[in-house]
Amino acid sequence: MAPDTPALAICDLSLRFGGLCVIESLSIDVKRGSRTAFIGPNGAGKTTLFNLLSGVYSPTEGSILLNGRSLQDVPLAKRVHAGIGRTFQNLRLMKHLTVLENVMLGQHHRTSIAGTFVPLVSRFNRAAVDKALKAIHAVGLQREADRLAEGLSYGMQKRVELARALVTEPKLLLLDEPTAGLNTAERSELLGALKSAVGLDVTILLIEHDLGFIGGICDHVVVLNFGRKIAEGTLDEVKTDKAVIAAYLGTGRRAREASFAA
Amino acid sequence: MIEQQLINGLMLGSIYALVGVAFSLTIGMLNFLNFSVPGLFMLGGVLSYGLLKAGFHWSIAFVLTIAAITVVSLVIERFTYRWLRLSSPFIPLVSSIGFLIVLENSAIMRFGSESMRVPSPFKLTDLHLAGLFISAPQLLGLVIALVGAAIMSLMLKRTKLGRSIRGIAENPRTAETLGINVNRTVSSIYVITGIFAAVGGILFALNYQQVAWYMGQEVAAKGLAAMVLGGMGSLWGPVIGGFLVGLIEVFSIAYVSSDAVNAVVYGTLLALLLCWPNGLLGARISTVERM
Amino acid sequence: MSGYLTQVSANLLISVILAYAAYVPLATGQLNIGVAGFMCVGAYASAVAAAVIGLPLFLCVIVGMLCASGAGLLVAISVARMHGIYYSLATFAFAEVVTAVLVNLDVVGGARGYVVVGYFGLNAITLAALLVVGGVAYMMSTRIGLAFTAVRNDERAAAIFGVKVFATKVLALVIGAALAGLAGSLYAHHYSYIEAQNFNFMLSANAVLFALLGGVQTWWGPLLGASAIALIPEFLRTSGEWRYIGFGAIMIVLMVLRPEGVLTRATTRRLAAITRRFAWGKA
Repeated sequence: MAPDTPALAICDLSLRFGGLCVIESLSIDVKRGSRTAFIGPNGAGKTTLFNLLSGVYSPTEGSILLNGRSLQDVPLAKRVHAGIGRTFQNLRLMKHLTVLENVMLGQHHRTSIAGTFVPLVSRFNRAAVDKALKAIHAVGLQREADRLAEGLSYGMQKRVELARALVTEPKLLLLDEPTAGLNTAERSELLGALKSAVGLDVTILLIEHDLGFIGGICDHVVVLNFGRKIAEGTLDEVKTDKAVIAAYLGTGRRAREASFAA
Repeated sequence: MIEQQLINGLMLGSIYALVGVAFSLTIGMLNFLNFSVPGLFMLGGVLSYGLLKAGFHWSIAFVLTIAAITVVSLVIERFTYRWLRLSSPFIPLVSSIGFLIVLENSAIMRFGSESMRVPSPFKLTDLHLAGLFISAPQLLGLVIALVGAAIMSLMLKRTKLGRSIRGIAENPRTAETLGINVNRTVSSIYVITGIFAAVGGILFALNYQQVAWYMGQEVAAKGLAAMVLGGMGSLWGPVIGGFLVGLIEVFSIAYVSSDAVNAVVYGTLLALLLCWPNGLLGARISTVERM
Repeated sequence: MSGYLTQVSANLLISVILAYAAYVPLATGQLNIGVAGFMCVGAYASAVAAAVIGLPLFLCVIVGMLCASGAGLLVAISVARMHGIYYSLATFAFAEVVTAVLVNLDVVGGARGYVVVGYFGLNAITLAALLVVGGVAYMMSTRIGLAFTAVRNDERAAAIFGVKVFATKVLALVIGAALAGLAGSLYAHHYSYIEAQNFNFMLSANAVLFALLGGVQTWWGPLLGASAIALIPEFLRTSGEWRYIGFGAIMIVLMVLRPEGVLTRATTRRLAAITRRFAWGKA
């Protein structure tokens, strides 16, 4: 694999449900180790794109290359083996299990046969437990490791999801609106956790609406609307792009005079 | 003779069609398997028997029975379909089993565990056509099944209630934001289901002139087979399926043995589920999740 | 031990095994309402193996379990990929088919029932029950249990994290069927007489309620549920229809008030904390 193979190469990707075209001719190259944000009005197809990457949907046309390898024949359950880790817009945790147990789900795909028959949270499973605890520590939840997920605050639950995604040791990390529902303090906690916990060789894709958060971590922004890419570049370039402003604010006089506030 | 068997099968099938529609309505619209349907079927038969025996005129007996079924259906809805608690799809299923048990054992307590002979409530002439015999209750059953399904079909397409029902079936969560009165619509579905089941019970009582606390159990299997054969979640599917099941039953009794009927019907149901679960008119059960 | 106590104990222990037979599929979110059918297969297979083939009793049980598992596998493979309703319907139909066929099969007695040779005393049944409870508890503590729970909570998320959902569901269904077969075989060789009509829908409903009452979040939920339902009527001395109406009412009320079951994980932890405080307090 050449050093400048893009971590993710999406080429002419389209997804149609009957007559409804949800993603249209999308082409994006993502550099390895970059932090790319996807923004766009609701319904633009951002989560759908993540679902395509996760294997929930199969593209109608086009291709997805992960580190040069096509994902076409990689079924849903094998995508995590390929190196794709993910969090979800609406939390998908097992509420009545502990934080540790939830995070350990992330190791499921890598457990050996021998590891299958030992009690999950026990000294016979030391290595796996330690790895999970490390991820939990990385997101700052070490004191909650033994608590049931349902007893945590929303912000903490989001961090559990992040830990679970981290423990899969992903090459491509998909974060779907990680700050939705968080207050300012929780947002900066999450930003700190992201910066410190995620290695520089991991590529991050981030769906977000909070431009400040995006500015704090992302070096590249892609704007989607109606399933199409309408702009791409740094945050500043994108903020002043006419097509982007039109997408969010329309094309009236005031919109034309507007630009995104910082 | 074969033609007579065909007639018998179709007539019998109209009862199964009604029960099949009742099952199909809850699966299609509310997404669960409703085991109280056989209970309501039995209740329709047993209540109308009780009222006829007590001397009421048949029109009053039937109206009162339907009224009672409506009340019972509303009670069941109150205790079964907790709108927000849809964490598990089998919660309402288990509740409905509970109601079935309560209904059947209440019937045993009130009417005993033996079968009871239903007095014939009215004099209607039977038909004799081209050497074939069609009894009045049989013909009544066929008419009611077809008319009932037709009314239901029209209702779903043309009325506000019908649109609300289809809205809930499509996506329960957004239905409310679209202004659909979810509680009332769900209650209506329960009542309609109960009425279809109970009318089936009344027809059964008229046709066989016999009711018992266990009359729901056998018809349940046939109603379910009708539903799966015709296509779960559809309306006309169970109707067609009901007639087909009626024919299967009649022909197995005639050409195999009457003992084997249960095995054949349940076996058909199982085979359908394992090999052809979509049935004739297709299933539309699972709701599409949004991630 | 008096005859009455023996009967109550045997009944309780077999109920416990049945509860776990219903519990294992439920742990992956699938409702088996035909548990009695798999129990019936196990019972008759085991009885036939003893009477006709003359296998040692231990092997007869294995035969019973294998037959039940085989049936479970057939059903599971066909419907595990579909919406849960199909599984419930298929198991319901399966149980009825089994009963309907066996009732007419005169070679095993038909409607008159079948006499069973070979006897399992209370000791054997107790051992079996302990093995089942211990085995299931252990299994649920491993990665397998985590996979089951993940599938029950959210199939799609489980798949995204690499869980093979179909295989997991089939595994759970087959284990459940095997346990039901075990219960049937023990029942047959203890009561020495089986009738196909007894393996009916009410029995399946019982098994389901044992598991649901205790709750499927902890491994000892089904144990609690089975014990409560098997023992409480003995204390209350209710009879006949009221017993069943009470049973039905419990199902209804439970689903309304506490569908997760009595023993949720949160409740168990609270109980453990209280017990600990109590123990320390006394010491």
